[in-house]
Amino acid sequence: MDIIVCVKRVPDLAEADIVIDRSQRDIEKDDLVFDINEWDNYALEEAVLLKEKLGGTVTTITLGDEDAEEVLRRALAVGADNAVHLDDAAFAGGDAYATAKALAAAIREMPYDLVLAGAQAGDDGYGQVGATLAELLGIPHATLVTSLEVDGKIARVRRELEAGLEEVMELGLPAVLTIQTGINEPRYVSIAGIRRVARREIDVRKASDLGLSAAEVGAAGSKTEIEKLSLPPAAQKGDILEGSTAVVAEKLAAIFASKGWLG
Amino acid sequence: MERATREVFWNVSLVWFFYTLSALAIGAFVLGAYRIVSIWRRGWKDSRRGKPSASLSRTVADGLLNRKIFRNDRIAGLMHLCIMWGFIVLFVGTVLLTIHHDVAPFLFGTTFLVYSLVLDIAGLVLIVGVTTALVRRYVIKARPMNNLFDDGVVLVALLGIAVTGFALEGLRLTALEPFQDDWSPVGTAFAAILDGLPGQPQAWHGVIWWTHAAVSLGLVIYIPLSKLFHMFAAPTNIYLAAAEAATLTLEEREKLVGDFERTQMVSFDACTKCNRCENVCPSFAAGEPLSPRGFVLNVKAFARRKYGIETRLPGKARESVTALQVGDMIEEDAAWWCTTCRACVEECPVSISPMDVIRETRVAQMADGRKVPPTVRDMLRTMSKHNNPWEAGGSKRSRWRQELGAKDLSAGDEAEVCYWISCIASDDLRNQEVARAFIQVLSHAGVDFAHLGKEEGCCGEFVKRLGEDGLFEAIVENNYATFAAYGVSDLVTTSPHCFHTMRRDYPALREKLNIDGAPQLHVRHHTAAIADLLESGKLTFTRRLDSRVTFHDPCYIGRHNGLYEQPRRVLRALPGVELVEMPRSRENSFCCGGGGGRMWLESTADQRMAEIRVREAAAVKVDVLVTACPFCMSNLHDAAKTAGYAEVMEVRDIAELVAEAL
Ligand code: SF4
Ligand code: SF4
Repeated sequence: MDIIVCVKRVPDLAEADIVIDRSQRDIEKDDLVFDINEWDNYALEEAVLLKEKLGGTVTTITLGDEDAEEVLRRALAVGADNAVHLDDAAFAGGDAYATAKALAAAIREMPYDLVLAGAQAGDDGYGQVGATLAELLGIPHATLVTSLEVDGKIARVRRELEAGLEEVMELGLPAVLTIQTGINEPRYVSIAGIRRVARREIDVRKASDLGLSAAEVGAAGSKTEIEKLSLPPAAQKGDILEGSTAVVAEKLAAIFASKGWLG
Repeated sequence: MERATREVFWNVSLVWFFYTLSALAIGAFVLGAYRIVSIWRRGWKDSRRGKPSASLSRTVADGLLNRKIFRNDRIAGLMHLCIMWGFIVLFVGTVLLTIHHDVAPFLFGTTFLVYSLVLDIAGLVLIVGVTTALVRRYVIKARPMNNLFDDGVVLVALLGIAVTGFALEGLRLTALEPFQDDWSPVGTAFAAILDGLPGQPQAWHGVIWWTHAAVSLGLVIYIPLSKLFHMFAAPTNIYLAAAEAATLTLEEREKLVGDFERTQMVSFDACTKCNRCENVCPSFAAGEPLSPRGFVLNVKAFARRKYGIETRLPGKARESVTALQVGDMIEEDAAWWCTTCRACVEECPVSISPMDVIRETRVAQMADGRKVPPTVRDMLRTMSKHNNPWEAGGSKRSRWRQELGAKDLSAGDEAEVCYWISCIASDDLRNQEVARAFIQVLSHAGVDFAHLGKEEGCCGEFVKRLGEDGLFEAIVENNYATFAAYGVSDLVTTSPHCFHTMRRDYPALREKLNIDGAPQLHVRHHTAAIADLLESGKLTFTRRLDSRVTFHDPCYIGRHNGLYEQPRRVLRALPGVELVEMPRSRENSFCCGGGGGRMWLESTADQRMAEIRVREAAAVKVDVLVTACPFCMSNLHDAAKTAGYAEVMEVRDIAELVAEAL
């Protein structure tokens, strides 16, 4: 069973103060910390768990500048066997389509039974790369996968739908699956673990290695373009009721009454 | 007068057969001992530091005099001394007799009489010791024990050997015309009892002689197969463990082969299953699935399998054991429950440190990654990204620090002493009050101090206890760089954890990692700093507090660093404060449950350690439970609420009381 996992290095935005930069098309990234995209981390764990159970190999692939190498190192520490880095100035500024095109070109050359990717990325959040990749590779796909079992040439997956509903489906392999968080408990990757893989070879490829011209990838090869970013309006500040429990309860009741919620 | 002596094989035929059996038993013993020692040697070589003389005196005190068995249990100490010395003297007596018989006869006259008397007394002492042990273990059940088969076998065998020995002496005395009874008082007493036996004493003597021989030789074989081997492993361990364990850098660790250090491998066999560690373990007391004794024995079983005789087998059998990982052996993730309170280390009579063994398995589990609890995993990731264990929030924290009104090194101020505030005091509301109180105390005393403002990261203490040594190394390098940049070398902190790690862990890494420009640190805990200020007359109290207080010794200033007196001196100096002690205080203090990374692990047990502790404080009827650690503060403060004592008892930091009295 040969599995390919697509990973991305993204800024950690959980509690960061987000500032839009001068171009208005991106955010200031200098003070941000970067890490593997959360969804990709689950996809990676799922791939390694499958390998530990069924044997085979895990190859991890990313598209990004030289800093992106750190997520590949992390993937190797988790248990990936190979790492491919699509690194070329021409890739910069690409949208989901352009990214998927580059990934597809690289993946097509490799043996694989299954391609896993995170359901979305924590930065732009398009959630499109996985599905587009499947289309370009001409194989089936399922998104938002919350559980996965492989049985010979068939993958049985559970998908998350709206309103807590789930869908169970079977796909013939090879296929692309985009993984939802919570599908597993990703293992901890220690500094010692990363050091152990520090000298492992990473396969770096440029657009030309993939048979793609600069016009086909990156911003030039994209179908969408960001015009302007803006921050959502700040939420209104809530009122904090103070006093003893009894006083607070009374104030709360008065508010409810004034809104006509008390019948 | 005929010279007093004794015929060694009186009334015994087939002496050659006895010699053959003895040779076989000794052979079996040697093989058994060799097996154990060869397992020890599979641990990595120690690089401990210590003086041989200090190790030796520790071995005499704890090994020969059983100093630590007496701790909190005098009868147990006497009991063990009796068994041990009874056994040693009888053993040496047997060796002397063999020399007398086979090499150079010397037991004649007075020498023989003294010899008889000494052995008689030793036999009696052994019987007293073993009987006490049997009664304590099986009848009155003096302490919770985990009785296994070999505990019973060992005691019954020892008792059997002593009793049959006296029976033989008695029978011999009844059969022969006794020339001098006074030198074998116990044997004579036995003779009086056995005199009434029907038939020839010679016949009885023959049967009992072979029984005595069989049990004795059986015991020789049994020593390396049972906990009795502690008679060799325990003193070895006491000697080795007296030297200070080395801090290993990541680089050094990468070169090691094996799962544990040699001293630790020895310690597994030194364990006598006395269960003292379990009896004092707060995690066990709270009903969590951790027993330090159980842990040590689990790891011992692991070492036996992985490095035992199977490894000498060819093919599959060998592979299946050599691939064993420490993590596979530990059930229910026991390693993560340890609060690193050090109570077990303090208690163990033979210098075993279950705490360090537990940390070593954590290191192995960290490297593997799969069994790291998710809450710990997430905290470590946050830590490596944001340099503090709680979500980002860096800007909020810096703002709070700026509002403290003290000098701020990161804002360009200068000062003699750096107040290291700690993460928890910066983020937790209750502990923020402690930081303010301490600042008030420092200001009152005219200390020239400043904090590091936005440049203060995390000290990384619990990262180290959790076994993520790589991350800890990175944190230490980072902090040394900050200290160097701001010229900080004199620190004071309100957290025993920051204090401990900077005092103990940092210098070892500083030496090994050759960190550029890293200053030599002088770190004090605020209890010690306040005690110093008091002594030099810099604190004048103007207000009476009028309260009855007790002090909860935080593990990391108490057991880990021996600061028991300083906080008490400060409390006694406060006007109107009456200090009472809880039953478990100082070395016996009971952990709040906050150390060892436990702040990031939810317990599933029915009880909380902090609640147990709060109840103890309430039982001595105090108005204030005083502590000196932010983790203790958080845990005890919450526990006082959940256990229903919030109305009658406050939980306060020592700095707050001092500030109030100013
Ligand atoms: S250090 Fe404390 S919590 Fe850990 S095993 Fe020992 S007694 Fe138990
Ligand atoms: S580790 Fe020490 S205290 Fe614990 S059972 Fe063994 S010998 Fe006793």
